[in-house]
Amino acid sequence: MTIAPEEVRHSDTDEVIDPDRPWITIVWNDPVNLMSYVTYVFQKLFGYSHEKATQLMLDVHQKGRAVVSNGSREQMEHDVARLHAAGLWATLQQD
Amino acid sequence: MTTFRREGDVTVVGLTPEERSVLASLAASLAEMLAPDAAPGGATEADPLVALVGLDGDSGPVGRPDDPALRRLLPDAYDDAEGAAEFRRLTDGELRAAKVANLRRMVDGAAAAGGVVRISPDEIDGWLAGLTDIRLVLGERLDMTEEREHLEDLADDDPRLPLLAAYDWLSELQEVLVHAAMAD
Repeated sequence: MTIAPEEVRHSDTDEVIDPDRPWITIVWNDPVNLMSYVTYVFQKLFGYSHEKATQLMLDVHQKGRAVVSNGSREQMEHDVARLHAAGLWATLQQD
Repeated sequence: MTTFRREGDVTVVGLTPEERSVLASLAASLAEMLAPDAAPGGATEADPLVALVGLDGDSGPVGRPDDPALRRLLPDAYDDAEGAAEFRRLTDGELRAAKVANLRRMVDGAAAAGGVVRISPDEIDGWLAGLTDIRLVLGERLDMTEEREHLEDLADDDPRLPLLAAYDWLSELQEVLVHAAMAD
């Protein structure tokens, strides 16, 4: 599943910008998903610890959204697709 | 009353005849709704619970669904319409197929002998995703919010009663399965 064009954003300066990590995946709150399930999905899909997954779940619940992963556009599209398959509401955008 | 027990790493769920019927009709009708090219008809069509949910088909794949419940199951991945449409064009078929496969396995599970469903560790994520999708549809039909209504707040003749009862039961089932999955 690759739909993004090749990202070419080489910088000729010494800026501390990782050209391979300019995209983020956001999970949005919804009134249906169980808090336990959202935590489980974050652990399972991203390999996060129970503690980190719980904190992200609480961010989604309390702030309405949370950035759950970042990386290349292709990686974020993959993450969004897996989150949609799990029933979570996710989008990606450039950071 | 649903019963749960563990046999090694297998989660064993005992369903009553009514629960089997509710689970099978909701899962089958949602599978049908997500796979619009599937043959129409089937035993679920006259099911009153399914009629209440209004799972009566939708536009074909790839287009952005008109039904808000389907839009929640197959959401836009991008803010901008062009990006969302392109992502949908390339992923919609696979996403629908994965969801339909989960739901069909649940239909088969509900038909298990004696209502005893045995869910192995490699099947449990599919159950969790399928239960989520059904609950998302019910939640949409019930206009579910964070300050949700409770069964006891509804009048006896409230038309939402069967949907809310199904929603609550599926939530309980999912909660138990999540904890089983976390223990694996």
